[in-house]
Amino acid sequence: MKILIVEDEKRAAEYLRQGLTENGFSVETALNGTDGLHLAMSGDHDLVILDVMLPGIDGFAVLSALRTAKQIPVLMLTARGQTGDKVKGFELGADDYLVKPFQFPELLARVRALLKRGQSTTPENILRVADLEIDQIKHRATRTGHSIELSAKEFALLTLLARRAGEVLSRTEIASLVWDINFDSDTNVVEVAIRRLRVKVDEPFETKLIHTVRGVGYVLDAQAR
Amino acid sequence: MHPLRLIGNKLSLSARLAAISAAIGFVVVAVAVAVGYFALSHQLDRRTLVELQGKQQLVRHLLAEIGSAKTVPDNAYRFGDLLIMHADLHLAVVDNGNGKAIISFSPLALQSISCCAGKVDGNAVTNWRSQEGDTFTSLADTWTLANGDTLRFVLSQNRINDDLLLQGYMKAALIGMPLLLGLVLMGAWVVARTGLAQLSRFKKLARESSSVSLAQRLVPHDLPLELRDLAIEFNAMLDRIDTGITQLNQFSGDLAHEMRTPIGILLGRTQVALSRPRAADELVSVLEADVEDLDRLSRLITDMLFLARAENEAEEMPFEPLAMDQEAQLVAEFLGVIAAEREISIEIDGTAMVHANKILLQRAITNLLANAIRHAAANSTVRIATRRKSKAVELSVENVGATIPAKDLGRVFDRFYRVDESRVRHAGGSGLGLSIVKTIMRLHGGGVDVVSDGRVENQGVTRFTLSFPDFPSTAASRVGPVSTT
Repeated sequence: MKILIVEDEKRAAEYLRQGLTENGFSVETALNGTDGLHLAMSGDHDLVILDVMLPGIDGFAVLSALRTAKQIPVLMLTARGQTGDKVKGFELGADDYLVKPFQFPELLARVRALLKRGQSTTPENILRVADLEIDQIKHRATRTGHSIELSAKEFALLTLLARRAGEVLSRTEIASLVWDINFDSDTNVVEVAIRRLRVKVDEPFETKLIHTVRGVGYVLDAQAR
Repeated sequence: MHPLRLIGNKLSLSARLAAISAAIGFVVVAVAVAVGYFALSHQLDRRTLVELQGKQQLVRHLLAEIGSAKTVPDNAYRFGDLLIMHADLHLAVVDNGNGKAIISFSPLALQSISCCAGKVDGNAVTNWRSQEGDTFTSLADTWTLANGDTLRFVLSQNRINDDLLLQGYMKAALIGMPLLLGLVLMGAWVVARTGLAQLSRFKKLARESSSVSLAQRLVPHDLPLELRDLAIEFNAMLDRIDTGITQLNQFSGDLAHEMRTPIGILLGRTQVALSRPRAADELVSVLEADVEDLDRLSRLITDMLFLARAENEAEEMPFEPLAMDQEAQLVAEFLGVIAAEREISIEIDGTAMVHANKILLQRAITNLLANAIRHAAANSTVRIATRRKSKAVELSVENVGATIPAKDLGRVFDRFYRVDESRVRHAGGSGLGLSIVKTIMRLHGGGVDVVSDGRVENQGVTRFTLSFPDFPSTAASRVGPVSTT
């Protein structure tokens, strides 16, 4: 999967490139709108990460020029948290929008979601990660055949982690997807919820599935981290 | 800029007032002098005319008696009698046929013939200047004698005395006016200066006030009536600035403190880590700790920005009708996770609609509920109640536990204010939660209030109440994007 980053802040572009490369993407960067547009038009990228504030031609201009030729997914980045910008971006054909400062795992998740969007995803009724089995229809989770008693929210949390197994989910993202709390709540709810889930899902078993990536978030993975 | 204004701005207020008074004085006196001159001159003209007309009647009478042009010179003495005691009056009688003087009593009378040639109407006067330079007013008339001879006569009045009178009047006015104006100017200046002297108190106070010392105030009842209100407003302004500066100082100090501590830790920890070679996993744990601190800092800054820019950003936030109890339910489910840890139960009671921004409302409830859970006694119940009142919609969050001391109640909404410094910080609070609630409520045109009732040993009920403007009326009063769901 090939990603183009158009970002004038050199250090930001650099860490994004490194982060995405290490997550298995091949990355190209452009430090201004003109180069970015040129690369996007001529290249065969699967996704463009586009900063709004660019010297020369800005992100919006790049986007509208790009949209005349290509339907490649575009994730917009901006330092301004203004709804007006967001609306403008979406009107011009942006696929997603992330406000700076963002956390890298959040960006990674959005990138993956955008790349998956085109592919057909048939929702599986039964999710399997190592010996963990989640039956989404019967709302039941088992490990090595032992049933795990979970509350509705615990089940939702485990399902989320299993569905995105191997992917680090930030606390903010978890709060949003499980509890529909779409702002930074400054509480340790997710931490506590994960701890309680671990008591039920991991504690009785040899293999630990839920891992903490400190300072970043949580991941469900058969491999130890 | 207009040149007059430029001058005006440079002059002192007293000088300006004096100048304006003088200017008004000048105009008034000038008008008075002009009117006086005009009236006097008019009066003199009238007097002359009346005199000339009187003589005209006498001359006509004489001519009527004489009866023929030839006998006029013989009767010259009778005309001469008319002029006795009138040194300024001159008479010339002219044969209308050849235009020659039949009788005249002075060289001026001869001059007057040519000046008034052709004037025959008997009422009109002519003003003219003699060769000697005196001004004359003449009245010419034509008279047909009994035998059919037609004569013309010209009566002339020397106006030298009238001119002297008018000149004297003007001289007096021209000398007197500047003196008068000078007096007005000085008087006005003195009055203005005395009146404005009180302003120097304002000047003194303004000069002595700085961001360091704002303690001084004016004493309004010592001042003239006009300046009293100004002084009161001036004092009020100083009060507001004083409060603002105090808060700002405190705030920036607090902010620096809030940021300095985690940055100091970050720096220290990282420096220690770099001070000697370490295994990768050791470095990783340092980085992980760094990320956590940086995350907290980033959140702190985001919250600070929210507080600073809330008014601008609110423009962009969609407001919609929301059921408060449902939003409370959603938040309660989320925070229920930490409530359960402390075996605290959450009860939600009542129902009420409100016109609000969803995220902001949830955030306000979250901050209050998280606070309540944090401070509630173990095994207790935190109660959320929503209700509609006559003019407001309310949501209250109530917990039983340690109460807030009365002296702190007014300050709990201040930024970084913590009733119990160590405890709240330990629990992860940024110290901005309640400030954010207050700001959110302000954006909704409502407010937040707190009561804390300590009954026994500081244990009691603490209740925070959000009050929103009444539901239907808020929809109309708020301008902005409104989405309906």
